[in-house]
Amino acid sequence: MKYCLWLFGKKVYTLDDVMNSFDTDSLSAYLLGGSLGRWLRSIGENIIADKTDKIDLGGKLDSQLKICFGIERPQEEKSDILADNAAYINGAGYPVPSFATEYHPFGNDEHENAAEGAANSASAANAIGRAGSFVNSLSSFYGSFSGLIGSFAKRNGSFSGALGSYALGGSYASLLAGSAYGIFGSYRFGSALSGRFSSDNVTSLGGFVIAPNGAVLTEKEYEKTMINLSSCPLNSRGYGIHIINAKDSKKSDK
Amino acid sequence: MNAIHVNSTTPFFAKHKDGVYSMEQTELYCAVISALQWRKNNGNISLVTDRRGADYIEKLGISDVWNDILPTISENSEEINPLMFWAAGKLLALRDIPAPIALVDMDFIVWDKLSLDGLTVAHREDLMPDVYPPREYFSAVKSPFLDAADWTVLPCNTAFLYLPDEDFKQFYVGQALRFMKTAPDCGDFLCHMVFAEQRMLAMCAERLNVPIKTLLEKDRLFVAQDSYTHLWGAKQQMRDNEKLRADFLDSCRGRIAQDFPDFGYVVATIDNACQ
Repeated sequence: MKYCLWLFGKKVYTLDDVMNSFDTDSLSAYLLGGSLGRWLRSIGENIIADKTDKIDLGGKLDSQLKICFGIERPQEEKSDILADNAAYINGAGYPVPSFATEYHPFGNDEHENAAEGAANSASAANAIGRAGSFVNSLSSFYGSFSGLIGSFAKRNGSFSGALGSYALGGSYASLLAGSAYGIFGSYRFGSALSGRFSSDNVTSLGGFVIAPNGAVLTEKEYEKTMINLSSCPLNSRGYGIHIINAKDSKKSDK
Repeated sequence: MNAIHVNSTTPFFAKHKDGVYSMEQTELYCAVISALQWRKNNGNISLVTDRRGADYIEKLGISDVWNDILPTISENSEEINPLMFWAAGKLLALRDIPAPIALVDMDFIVWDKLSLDGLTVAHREDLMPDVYPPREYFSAVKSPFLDAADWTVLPCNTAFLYLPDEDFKQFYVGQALRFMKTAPDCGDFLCHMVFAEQRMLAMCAERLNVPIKTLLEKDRLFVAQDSYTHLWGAKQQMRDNEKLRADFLDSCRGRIAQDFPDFGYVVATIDNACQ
């Protein structure tokens, strides 16, 4: 399987390209998605691929990726440099070279990690809290959605019974098809509506839409309802289900 | 055009540790028609699943409905929370099946021969805030990609997804799986899942300037058409209404008998298994 990486929004085909635009965010996604090692092997970089396979996915990915690609030194190497440096300094009494301060603050990294961990926990807690409120608003949304259909039902007068959130489609289909709890309500729905645009089940006349049962809706009401119904991804009943019925469908082979 | 159905049993076993896996009769019939209709007009279709899913289909005796059964999905879902991300199997399958590839949900039927020449999805979806909340809702997921993403693009319904390009596919799958693996367990079984699968796709395409085509217009899903079937919320309706379910099953039996007589045995097989 051949593919390139997208780093900083540009296609990348070689290791040199990766080094020239080292996009740790995108590389992290490829790594966690499981396709970074595969790509590296596809371009012959098996050694780096072996290293990325060993990355601790629960750890800091940015620095681990940099180490795998040789952009940053691993911690042990840094420690060695510091030890050598210290010995050199102690022996010769030279001042500490500036790069030592660059490499030394692993302790700071730990503090940063701890702070980040705390922030993550706080965010997660917030997110959970918000999830609760979303659930609440979800419920109220469905409530209002049912209300919308309910008002249509009242106007038509041919509808009875409770509206379960998943029963909306069938109920409204029944309204159009003319049976309170019509058999195959939703499945007739497609064909019932077809006349609105092309066939003979529903008629569009002078700005009104007439359903097979004689119910009359203004075109505005009709369109508004269609848009509302179709824009609720969870509550949407299926579509095109009537096609399966070989007897009714134009798709029938015989 | 090669296609895949994907069925991961991991979410089921996460809920029912010692349960006996099975698919609903309505789902089985729809999957069978979806596969056979695809083969009739569009090419090969494989069922990508895990070992338990493959065993189920094989024991049922309907595995030759598909061109092949690929039990390649890891049953541990690569540490992704299977309850929050119940469709993660689709992303894992996509990662490992080469493009160009069409992912067809088992409750989605394509009735026509398709001729597609770019990234194509079933249809767009509206940005309902209850389903597609803003960035702040996912603030626990640290991601420069998400920070920079366009949160106004409309999500894509991926009941049908055609990915012609391996480069884009890997980028999208990587972003989606990364999101799933780094999101905190927060008991949300909707927003996180549809974000990772459906909104992320639109964001990735926007970021990389890849145009998205749709099979259907989102505002005209329920207008008469004879090209696509999607059971979608009707599955729940059929659970709630026995008569509806029975009529649907009869329609499926009739369709199989008429259009796929060589697979007529499937009807008795499914009916016996689901008694």
